[in-house]
Amino acid sequence: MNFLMPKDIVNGAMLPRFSGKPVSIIGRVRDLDANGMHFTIESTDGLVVKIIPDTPINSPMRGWIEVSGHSTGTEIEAREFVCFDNEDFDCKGYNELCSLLYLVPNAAS
Amino acid sequence: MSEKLSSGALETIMRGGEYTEPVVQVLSIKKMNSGSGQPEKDRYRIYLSDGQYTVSHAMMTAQIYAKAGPKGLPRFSIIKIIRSMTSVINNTDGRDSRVLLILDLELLKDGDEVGVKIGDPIPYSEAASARPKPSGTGPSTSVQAEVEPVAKRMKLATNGTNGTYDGNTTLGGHITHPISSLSPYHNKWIIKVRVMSKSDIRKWENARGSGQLFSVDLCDESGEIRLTAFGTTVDKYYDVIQVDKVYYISKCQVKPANKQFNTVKNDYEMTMTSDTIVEECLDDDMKNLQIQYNFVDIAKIAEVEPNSTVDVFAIAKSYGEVNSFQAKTTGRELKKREVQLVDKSNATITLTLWGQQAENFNGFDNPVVLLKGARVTEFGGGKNLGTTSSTLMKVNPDMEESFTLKGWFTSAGSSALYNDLSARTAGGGTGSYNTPWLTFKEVIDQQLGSINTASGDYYMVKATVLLIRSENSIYKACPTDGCNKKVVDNNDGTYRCEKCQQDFQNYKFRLLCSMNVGDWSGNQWVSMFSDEAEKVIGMSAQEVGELGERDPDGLSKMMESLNFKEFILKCRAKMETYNDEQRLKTVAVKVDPINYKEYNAYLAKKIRDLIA
Repeated sequence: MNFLMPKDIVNGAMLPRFSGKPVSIIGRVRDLDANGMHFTIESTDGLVVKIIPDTPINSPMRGWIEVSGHSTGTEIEAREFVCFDNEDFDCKGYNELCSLLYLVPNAAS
Repeated sequence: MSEKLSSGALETIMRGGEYTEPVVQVLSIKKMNSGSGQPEKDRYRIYLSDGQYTVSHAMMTAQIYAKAGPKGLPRFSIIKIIRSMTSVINNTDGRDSRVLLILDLELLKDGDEVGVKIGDPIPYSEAASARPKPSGTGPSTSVQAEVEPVAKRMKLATNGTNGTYDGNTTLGGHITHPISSLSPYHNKWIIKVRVMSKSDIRKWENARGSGQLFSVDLCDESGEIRLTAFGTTVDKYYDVIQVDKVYYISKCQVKPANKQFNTVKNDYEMTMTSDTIVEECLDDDMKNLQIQYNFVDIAKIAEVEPNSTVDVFAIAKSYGEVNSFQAKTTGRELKKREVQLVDKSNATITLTLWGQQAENFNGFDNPVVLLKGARVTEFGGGKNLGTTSSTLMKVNPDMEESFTLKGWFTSAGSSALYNDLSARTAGGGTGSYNTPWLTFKEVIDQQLGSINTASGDYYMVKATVLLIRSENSIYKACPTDGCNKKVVDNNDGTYRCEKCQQDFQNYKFRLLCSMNVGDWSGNQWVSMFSDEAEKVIGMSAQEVGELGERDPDGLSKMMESLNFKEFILKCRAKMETYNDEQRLKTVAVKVDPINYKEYNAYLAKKIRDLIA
């Protein structure tokens, strides 16, 4: 799986709906497990989501991050990450995007 | 010879019938100068009686009058009308009136010998109006001409130049015409009207000379019309004509209304001439034609569309000083004063007065202010009131309601808290309040620039720079603060500013950029002044100017490097005419970096609107 694969852009509340499907989510890194086996993010809608990377993380992670992987309904088995260095992120706008994407059928196709 | 008059003959004739050589009595006669100075063109108007009816619409020429002999036709003379004709004057109200033209006559008996009025005749027109009218009469009963009571009347002004109307004649006794019947094709009329509003005297001076004017808006049951006076008629009538009074008016020039200046509901307007007669009507105050007010609570003005007019009845809570400033476009000096109005709806709104109205306004002791037809304007999200030339403003009007309102203010209103409708809502980051977001295609489709032709149409657009012209983008301007006029190089190290009329050792650089910007739907040339251009370029005008002098190639390279930058522009589009060609001139009045959060919210809202 890579970033060019089609995936659905979601927020925390939408993970169960996309269970078993490739998704992309944006959140703020909260805490990283000591051996780098998993970490949590706070999603744009204020939920804590557990991320399980396919390979252990060995570099420090902080700030806003986009995570791509499979939704298990509550967690994400992650394959790729994009770290952003901006402090400000338009959470309201992102949540609006998530909601609009699935309000309009085939909006993104 | 017989002194017996042909009783009933005039009725027959005035109804269009034939009557052979009727004998009638002259009750009065009046010479009407042609004004041409040629006595042979004079006419005589005579008042005839056949013993049963009298007719005032009878005329003869000087040649016919001469046939009566050297003595003329003294009062009470008895004549035989040998030849005559009647001419129908069409009144647009559907009533035709006839004028009797005497073409030949014979004097039967000198009036001095007769000495008395024969019989007890009544005016024909009155008798006729008492009868059922023929079919096809006027459209509305309210506009019928009527014979005025001749009782109490006063002559205010007469034709001063040729004395056509002497002291015995007033407009009062004549048939009046409804305003709706006035047209340029019909010039013998008298209207009876109430003055709705009167403007200030406006004076102007230009290359062709100076002048003055004022206008009044008049109404009767049939409609309204504007009457404008120029030149000396201003001095003659400005103080004579008072708002709310009723006048007889005659002999004005009627012409198609110039809707640009005239919002009165009439296709025609009138101009006073030197022959115009204005006479106050004292016997009929047209009670049924009191001005109708439709007062709106100040609080409700919040919901009123801008540019509509409202009637307001309020207290002047406070008022500012008169401010003088120069109009940006014309350079004319303007005076204004702001007055805060309040009413029982616990809201306040700012009324802006201009010119003389501003100077004359006395807001001392919280007067009652009545406005008829005040204009609602919107500025920065707040609503304001303004007056136009047809707005009627009364301070402390003599009405019962004034005392009630004043009483309320004294007891409760002076200390109440008011919701200020004129407060400007704090603008968002881009100051986008009320300015619509449009794409360039929508700008064309909606014909922006032609909607509000006076001040232009504004819109917001997210645009990408496609090209900036580097040529002629910099100019040398007057260094005086606030004056950005281009200076003329005197070629002696000094620079002249025509506006300040001064020579300077230095100048400052200013920018005047023309750039082509586009979005997904189209593109548009827009011009920008220094402040906006600096934001696009990211350098000060001075830096750009110095770069241009030092390295013209560097300047064009720098300009090229700006291509594909994106900005939020607030544009003013205005259709302008160059050499008879219409061109849309667009000025970027505000340039901002894109506020993605805000722009995204706008787009998301648009999508929501689309799927709703």
